[in-house]
Amino acid sequence: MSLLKVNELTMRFGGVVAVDQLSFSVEKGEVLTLIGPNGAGKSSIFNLISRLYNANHGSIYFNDTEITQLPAHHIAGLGIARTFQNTELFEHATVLQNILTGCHVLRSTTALQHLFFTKKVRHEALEHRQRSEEIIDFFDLQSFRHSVIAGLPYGVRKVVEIARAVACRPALLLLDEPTAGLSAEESSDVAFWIDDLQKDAGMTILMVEHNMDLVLRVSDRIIALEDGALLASGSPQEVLEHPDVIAAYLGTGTGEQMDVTL
Amino acid sequence: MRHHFRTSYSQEIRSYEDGRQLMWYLLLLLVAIVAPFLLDEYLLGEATQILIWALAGMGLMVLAGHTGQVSLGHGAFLACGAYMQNFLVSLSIPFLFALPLSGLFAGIVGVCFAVPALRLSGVYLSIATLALGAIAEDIIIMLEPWTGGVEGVYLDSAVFLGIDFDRYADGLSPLASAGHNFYWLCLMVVLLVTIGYINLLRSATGRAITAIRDSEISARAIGIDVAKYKTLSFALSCFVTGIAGALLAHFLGAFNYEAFTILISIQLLMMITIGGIGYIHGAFVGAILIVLLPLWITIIREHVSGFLELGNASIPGLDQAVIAVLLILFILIEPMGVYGRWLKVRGWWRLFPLARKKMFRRHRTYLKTERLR
Repeated sequence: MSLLKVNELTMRFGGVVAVDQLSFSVEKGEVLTLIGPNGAGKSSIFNLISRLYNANHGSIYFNDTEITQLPAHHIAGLGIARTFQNTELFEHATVLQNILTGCHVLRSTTALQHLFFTKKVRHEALEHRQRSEEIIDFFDLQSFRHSVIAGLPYGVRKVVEIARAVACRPALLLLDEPTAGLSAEESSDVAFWIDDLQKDAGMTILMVEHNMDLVLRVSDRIIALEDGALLASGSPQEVLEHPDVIAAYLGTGTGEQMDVTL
Repeated sequence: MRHHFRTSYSQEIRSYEDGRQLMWYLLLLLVAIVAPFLLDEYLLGEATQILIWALAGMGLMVLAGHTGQVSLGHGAFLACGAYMQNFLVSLSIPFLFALPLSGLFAGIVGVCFAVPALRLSGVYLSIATLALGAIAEDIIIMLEPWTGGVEGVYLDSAVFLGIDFDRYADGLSPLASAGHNFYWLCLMVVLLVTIGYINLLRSATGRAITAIRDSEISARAIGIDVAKYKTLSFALSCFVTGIAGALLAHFLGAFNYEAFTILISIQLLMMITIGGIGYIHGAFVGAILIVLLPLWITIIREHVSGFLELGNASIPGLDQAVIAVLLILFILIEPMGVYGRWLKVRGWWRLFPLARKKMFRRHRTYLKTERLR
């Protein structure tokens, strides 16, 4: 059974077709990477799955439940968490508060109980605090625990965003370019974490990434997209050697040589 | 240099930093409780007014400071509370029971306004609330049977279980003279609301509303129902503002539409901005400044005109002008307000001698995914 199933999904921005009759599925426990040139519709697919965009046509199933029409705030509760391409953190809050906010869907108390900070709320607060600490440990964020996001370097922000997404124990994690803008070392850390999340935490990961080293290292499967449509899919090696993928990235080589005089 | 060494998670979720801070707050509370015995009647009136404005400020702070929804028309909800209180008291409902009911009424009006208005965001929401604040005066005048129209209303004196809470009452007990009981009542309400506010901020609801303020898109992605929490924030905000209005009604004794003009709404927003937007303390600091400013201006003006031999001519609009200049200066120099500045000073002192100027500079924000909005 597939964890996530996308059926003939289509989305248009006016006349531009961002996602075109796309169908694919994500199996439980795998790391699936979407690759493709800029404007191929990778991020649009993420926004469609997390319901920030509305599909014009087609359907999305998660655990055999249709989520195509659900409001965006129901998605995290079902078990889909995501990160954003250009970090969308809560700037005025600390790292710890960001991760605690990520625990939002795990709560079982109401606003009225919060107002009086009842015993149950206290118990839950301690539980979430413990959970956040486990996540802080996992991502090595101890030294930034009480730092406000606004003062943190970009590399750390990227990690905090993954940490916040993981906080709600998602079954499916959507990572939108997790290593964009990171140094080689930081990227390599991200690769380890993705591995751990998959193998130890049992998460399924759908990722958009341009860093091919990382893609080859962690992906079980790759889907290549161009102009919102499927170009190729399969094991990393298969996809990268696929003639259409090479053509999409590097051109076909049949065009006439340009004369360049310097 | 001071460092908090925590040994359990319960130290992190409690509402105060450490025993020392708790001690200071308890001391402050003690001073506030005995204040009526230390202050004369005029200053006690000012202190009561500070409490009432701090309450209204906290109401607006939930919405503007913590949810990021700036309202320029909160005077309307203040009016809702005040006139409802008058109406309920005139039905001979005990005024202490009428107080939460007036707040509830303001809260319900707030939700009725919020449901359509929260489709707007940012400056458009502010304009909508501004319209509400402007129209409130006219509505008050038109609803003459309940509001007394232009003439206004006179409240019955507030007596509950034989205890006279009226501001000018000669106390029945030997201890309580004019205004003591009313001051303590205001203090009690402010204390309860502050505790509720602190509790809210340290729980999931508080994190959800601040998340909406900082990034609505992220808030949705981590499962926060943005519309629900904005409405909740509006409801709480108007409830608290309504109670402040009801207390203000008793404080004024007699009032008409002029107590709730659009200027009051704007003054309320200026108050929390100068005090420190986004901090509970900011509401209190702002209230102290706004209430005491006219007093200080009078004192300074007397000195200046005595020195320059200008005579005792009053200058109309001087208070507003000074507040406006203060607001401009704060927005330019210290957008976090008086309390924000205090936090920086305290941070500098705590880290001494390791603090550096750059630690407190304003940081640029990184590129945001605006296109998702």
